[in-house]
Amino acid sequence: MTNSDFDMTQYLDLFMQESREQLETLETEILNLEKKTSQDHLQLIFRAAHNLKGSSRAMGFTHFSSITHEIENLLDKLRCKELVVTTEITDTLLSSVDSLNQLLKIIAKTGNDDFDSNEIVKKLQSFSSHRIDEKQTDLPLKPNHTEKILEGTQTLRVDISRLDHIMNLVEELVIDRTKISQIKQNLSQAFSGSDINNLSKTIDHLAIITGDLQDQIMRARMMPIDTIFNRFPRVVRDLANKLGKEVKLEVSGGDTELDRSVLEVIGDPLLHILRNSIDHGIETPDEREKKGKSREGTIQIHAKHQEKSIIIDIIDNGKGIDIKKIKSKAITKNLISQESAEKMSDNEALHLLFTSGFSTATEVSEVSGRGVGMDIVRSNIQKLGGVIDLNTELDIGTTFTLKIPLTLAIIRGLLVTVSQTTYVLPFEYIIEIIVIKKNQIQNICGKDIYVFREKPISLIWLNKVLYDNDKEHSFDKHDQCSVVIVNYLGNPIGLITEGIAGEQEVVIKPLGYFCGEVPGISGSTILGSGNIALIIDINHLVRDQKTSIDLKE
Amino acid sequence: MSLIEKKEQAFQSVVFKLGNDLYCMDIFRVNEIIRLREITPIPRSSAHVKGLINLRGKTIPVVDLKVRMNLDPSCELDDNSRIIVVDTPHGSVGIIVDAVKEVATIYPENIDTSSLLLSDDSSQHLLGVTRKNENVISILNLDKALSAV
Repeated sequence: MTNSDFDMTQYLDLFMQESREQLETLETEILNLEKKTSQDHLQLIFRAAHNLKGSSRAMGFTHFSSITHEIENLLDKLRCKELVVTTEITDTLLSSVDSLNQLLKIIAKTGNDDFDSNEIVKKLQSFSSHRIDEKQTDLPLKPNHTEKILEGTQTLRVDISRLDHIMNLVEELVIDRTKISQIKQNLSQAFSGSDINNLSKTIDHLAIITGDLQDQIMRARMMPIDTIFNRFPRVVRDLANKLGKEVKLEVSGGDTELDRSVLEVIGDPLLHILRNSIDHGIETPDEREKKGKSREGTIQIHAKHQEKSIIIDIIDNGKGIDIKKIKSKAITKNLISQESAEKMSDNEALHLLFTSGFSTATEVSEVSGRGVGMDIVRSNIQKLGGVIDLNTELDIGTTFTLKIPLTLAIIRGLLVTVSQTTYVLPFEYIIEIIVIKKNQIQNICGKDIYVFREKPISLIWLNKVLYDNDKEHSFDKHDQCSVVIVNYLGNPIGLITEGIAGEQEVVIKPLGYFCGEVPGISGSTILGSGNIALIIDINHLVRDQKTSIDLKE
Repeated sequence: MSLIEKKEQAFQSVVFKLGNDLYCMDIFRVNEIIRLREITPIPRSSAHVKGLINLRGKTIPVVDLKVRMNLDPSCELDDNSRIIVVDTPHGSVGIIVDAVKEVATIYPENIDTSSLLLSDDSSQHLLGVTRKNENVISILNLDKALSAV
């Protein structure tokens, strides 16, 4: 008895997974259909609907299968050219996809498809006056066969938790490898001979293998960013319709791959930026015409790899952002003073957009402009160790650029000492490491400043921030200290340490639930020595310090 | 919820000391008991978070329940101190205790829950109290004691 129950849930999982994929295809292709009716697209939609019908019938979900059956009927009319694609038809098809998605959620929750499908079924039926013979649609479709032959690579579904487990094991392997090479180093100081040489060679080989292994596992966890991008055409279409705008979405680089843990987190921020671009960026068709632009605005999304990061650009050819407006808005909202607004560079002013409580839209709209969006977007991106930047030109458009690490699991880090404890600074933020003398530090208005390449930069004493120690502790016996110059939102900031202990690839372990949110610490790692080092969250740390400095003024 | 469960049948528990008082927790929650080892403190974290330990390649947070439950923290760590590693839905966590005494069977009929009616801070983290020989043992409500502040 229990055995058959178990089997059922197993199939249910598979059904859910496949249905989600099919529905995604369905939605994408329906949107394509709207742009251009081609037999190829119709064939794809038809096949997806057909598969959904088949599997839902097998599972006994009658409501699900009756909706898909009607979709199939309607599509067949289109395919046989008995009907022509209209917005009304695509709207109905899309809302039936929505219903199916809703149904899937109900099935996931309750295990059965208790849902009122009458309305949507009727709506679908309204287009086709007579119902076509069932057997006709059940005929196998030609392209299905050709595609199967074309499929070269074989794939296998693997449970994500299994991959995560393998990843954990590899991480431990990496730590042990570092440990062994440290032991070898100690040994080679005391002994020499062929055994030590062999050990050396074996360790080198081990390093290559673990590196490859790590790489392969990472790759297995990667997914194309298309899984997120696929949601966008629908969002753009619906929102543009609602706002009475004409927007064309161009997506490229959808096959760029990144770790699924990253993928999970960047979907919402991207969506928010996209909504913002449609709502605030793109003008209404009439406005655009007056400016001599085409009535239809364009939003481009490009994704590409750059070193160990993925770069995502969201480019609109809308009205751009008025920097003066931002400044005056920030002043009226008491975010900055008149005086500092004047001193502010354009880039700094643009970054005010990411401050909480800021919204440039004069009216609060349902879509965006509640002033809660962009700061959350930025903090989400920063949590991933990513950077967000924007460029804008009045009446030309705005470009948001996101730089996000491919994986969250492993980073290159600089090991620094603070109060005799080792800390890790993520490499991607580091500009330069310098050694400075005590008398090179100037104190201006209570702020410690160092002149770096003829530009004054603020200094932050890690010793003081983390341990509330006296600044004097940071200097060695020659009155010198090591300063790591990091990039904070495009500005160099000096972090004062007590010394540099090396660099290493580190496996990030989150602090976890029990430690809570620790300001300025993003995680921990185990060093080759077996000791634990904390990883400094540079963005958070600098931001905290900056606000506390600003408040003092 | 686990209180009702536990009232129905006897269960084995690990008895340990926090300060001068005896506490116990369900043995099935205990993953392992280890000697004190180097704890890496986390600056700017909550007071009850002692830091992180390296347990065979995993970093595990260690908490001090005495701080968490507002008990007298004066007892110093010494040779008898142990870390009890327990599994939770949020991952493993180490609990510093001043000594581990024994494994005892707790009978439901001996659990006294009347003290829970008192609204003092520390009793919020208990499932009840029981007696063994001359000693009073407080039964820890692990999930409540560990839940983030």
